[in-house]
Amino acid sequence: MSVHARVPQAPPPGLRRTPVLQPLRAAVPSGAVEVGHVYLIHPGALPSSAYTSGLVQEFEPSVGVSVLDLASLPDYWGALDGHRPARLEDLVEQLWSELRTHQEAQPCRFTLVGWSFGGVIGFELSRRARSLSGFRGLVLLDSVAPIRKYKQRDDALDRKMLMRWFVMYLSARRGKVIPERLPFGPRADDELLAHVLKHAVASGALAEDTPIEGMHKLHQAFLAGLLRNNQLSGAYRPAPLDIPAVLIKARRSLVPLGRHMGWKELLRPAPLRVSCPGDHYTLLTNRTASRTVAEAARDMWREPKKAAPAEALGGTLREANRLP
Amino acid sequence: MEIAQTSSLNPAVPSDVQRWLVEKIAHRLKVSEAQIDMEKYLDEFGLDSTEALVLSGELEKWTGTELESTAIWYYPTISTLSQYVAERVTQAAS
Repeated sequence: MSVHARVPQAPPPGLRRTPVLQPLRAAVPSGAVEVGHVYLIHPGALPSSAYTSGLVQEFEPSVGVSVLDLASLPDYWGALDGHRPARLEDLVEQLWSELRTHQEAQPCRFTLVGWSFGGVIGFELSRRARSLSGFRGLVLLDSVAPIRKYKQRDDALDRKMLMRWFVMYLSARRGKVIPERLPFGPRADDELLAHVLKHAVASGALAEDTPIEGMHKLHQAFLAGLLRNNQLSGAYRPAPLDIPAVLIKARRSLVPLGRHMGWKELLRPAPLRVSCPGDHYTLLTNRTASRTVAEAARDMWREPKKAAPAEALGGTLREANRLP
Repeated sequence: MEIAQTSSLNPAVPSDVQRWLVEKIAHRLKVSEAQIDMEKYLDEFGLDSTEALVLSGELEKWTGTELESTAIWYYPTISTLSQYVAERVTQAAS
């Protein structure tokens, strides 16, 4: 590699743009009442189609489901590699505009659901969304709270840990199981990537003729997205919110954290916690997690939005998968 | 056409970059090159983002020029990507 390519300052004119708000199912038939709406705040990494085969199926046809896709925001893309820094609050404002317009056109009860970094976005979006009468609460899917204790500089992130996350991501992305065990001891990224490539090919996750350069690019793009989100969270200074919330943790999350993944500092009352099988990435397609999200949303729509979680969210979630 | 013949192509020439991409994508999708529409978005070929990034890595090696992860998003067709890559290679050489 000899030269760094210039990063475009703005998308070329005429570029097809995927809508920021994308319905994942057909609209409720005319004359019928939409009993509720779920807005999935998606931060990329995995395709938003992951929700279609899982979560969407858990809701009855009278429930609307839409994705608020961060990956459709040019500012989110432009923030990759740090060339066009963005502010988390500015990204949220763009999503808020879409959400508000959608609710103004068809007001109804709604719940925000955010996976991973999407949960952090969902938290800040909730600050605005609570001004709408339909807002009922926030569901966090294996999302780490952006509190000081859990913030790390980019150069403090452990390389091998990042490589294990990459393997986890690639496995979920390709629907195959790639062993996460890495060679013992300090190793250069090149050596680790060659090891991962070998096992990714053996598992069928990648084609046999996938070159190491392709693996490098996949890894580079994965890290670029992760570091972008780390930087966005790092610069964000959130104030606590009083909203109903549920935290669904993956049993194999990315890092072992406290019971509330930091959200107890930011959410009042503290979110109800549920544990689901799978890892951080397979959580999106895991049936138990999808059912849990659907149940959490229904519970929020049944109860007054200002009630504490123990009353607002009902007994269903508390009885299933109770965390210590 | 064999992939091996791409060694005679010049990455500073848009039509050569196009040819390189068409060959690679046709090979990946196991279709004939004639079926590859250069104005079609890469994701419309059924090439998901993982495969597009692998291709981007191969393209970097061939051209000797690093491509930002956003390049495929900003130039999502073979036609526009070829033009962009050739311009970058030319600028790097001058």
